[in-house]
Amino acid sequence: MKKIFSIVTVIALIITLSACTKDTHRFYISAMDTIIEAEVRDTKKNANKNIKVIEDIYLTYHHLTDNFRDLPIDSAFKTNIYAINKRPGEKIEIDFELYEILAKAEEYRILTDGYFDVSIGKIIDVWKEVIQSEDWLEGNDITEAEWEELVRKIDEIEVQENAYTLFHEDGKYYIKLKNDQVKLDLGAFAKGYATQKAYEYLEKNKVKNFIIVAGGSSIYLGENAKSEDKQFPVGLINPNRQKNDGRLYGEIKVKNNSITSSGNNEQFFMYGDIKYHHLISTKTKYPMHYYHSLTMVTKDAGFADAITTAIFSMSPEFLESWVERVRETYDFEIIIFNYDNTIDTRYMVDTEFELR
Amino acid sequence: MKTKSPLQKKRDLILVITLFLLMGGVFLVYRMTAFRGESASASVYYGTEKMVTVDFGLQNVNIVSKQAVENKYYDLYGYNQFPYHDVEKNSIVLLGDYTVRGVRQLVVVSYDFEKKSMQIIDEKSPNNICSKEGESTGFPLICLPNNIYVRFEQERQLEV
Repeated sequence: MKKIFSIVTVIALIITLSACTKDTHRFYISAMDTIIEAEVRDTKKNANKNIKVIEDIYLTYHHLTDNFRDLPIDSAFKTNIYAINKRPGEKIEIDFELYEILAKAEEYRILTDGYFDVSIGKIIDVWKEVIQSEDWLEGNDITEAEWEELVRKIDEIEVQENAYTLFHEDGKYYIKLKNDQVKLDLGAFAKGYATQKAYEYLEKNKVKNFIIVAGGSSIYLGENAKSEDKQFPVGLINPNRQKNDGRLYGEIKVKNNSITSSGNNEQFFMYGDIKYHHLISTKTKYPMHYYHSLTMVTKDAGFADAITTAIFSMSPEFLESWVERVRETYDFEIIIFNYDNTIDTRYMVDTEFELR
Repeated sequence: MKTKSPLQKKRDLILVITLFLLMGGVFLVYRMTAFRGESASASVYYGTEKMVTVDFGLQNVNIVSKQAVENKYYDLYGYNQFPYHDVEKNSIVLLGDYTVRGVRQLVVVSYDFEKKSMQIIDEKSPNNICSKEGESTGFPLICLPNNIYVRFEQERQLEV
């Protein structure tokens, strides 16, 4: 009888303790026109709670920064980017969350001498229209007529100075677009910004072992529970892969950091043997051809998303002086896959990089 | 020669049965616990070469490598390449190494994004062991005479 009682006690104890054991839980969130993948090592109860909050974060910025659709009818928010773009010149009350992300975008515009600018949505629309055109998607280069039409449309749009004003009065937040040449587009920033917010939540709640993969270009990593040095290996995709090349050109080892890549290997079209990609220079209104890809390792995923977009249009000389100036305040590392297929790691500091 | 007493024989029998049950129990526990948890992806291999990856999260199938086969098999089976991804039937068709009258046979692997599972639904081999394995969400599916196997990966391969 004693033996049976002991066995039952042990089994009951195992069942009880198994509910408290940490395991890896994986979740998928559909937001910002991509799939956000989050992996958390925690008890099931905690993981479910944390993922619910992370999902809310992504959906908040998905709705607020959407420039294709109005807010859902039952939304608790006041307005979004789509609605704001339809009302140039008007003073519009906005939620604090939208004010905060736009204020951050303005900070980065100043930091990059205007290379990052969320007000060039009209120019981006013209390029995206051709990148997503049926002719190109069916595998044909764009025609001369299509190119000339693109050039004409681009010439008609001016990049605006002081494109929008943010202000607050009596605890309320407002925005005013300068004129109808201004169209806000947070596509190059919102995903990284939301990822940063998700990371800040996990850090505050002392979740150490996690992975957030926000689409194909932005990752935030905590500590790898399965590795002695707690680092995750991250493959760097070859942006100019030729027939006999491998998929990856290198690997970095990372923990407690975000990794963001901007490259010309996705979203582009060909014309006259030149690849016209989606990272548009605010200075020339055209995509520049200094690099195939830039990968940034830094603690702030929002900063990385904005800055990799901006520096893609900076010449190597300008980039060098810019990095020198900015690094005193901001901590980051960059791996550059140059247009001539050389790899530049001069802006790497601590992160372990291995060429393949 | 010393003969065993009936008591010793009985003891031996009990020992053998106990060991047999123990090993069976260990195997069952292993199958139930070793492949617990959700898989991020599964890969289909021909020999040591990875041919196809199925990403359950992103819900896509990626043909990583193509099998080098004699031209006659394209006409014989009506597929333009191996592995062939049959999008309509959520399955992947490969050419196995098992031959019937000198002709290599097909191996059909189905996938289910929602259930994060794989199953070998059609193959020809002496005992059809791998197609009898049923649907798997974690334990590997091995088609030895055909030289094809399916392996699940819990960890995501990180790339930017």
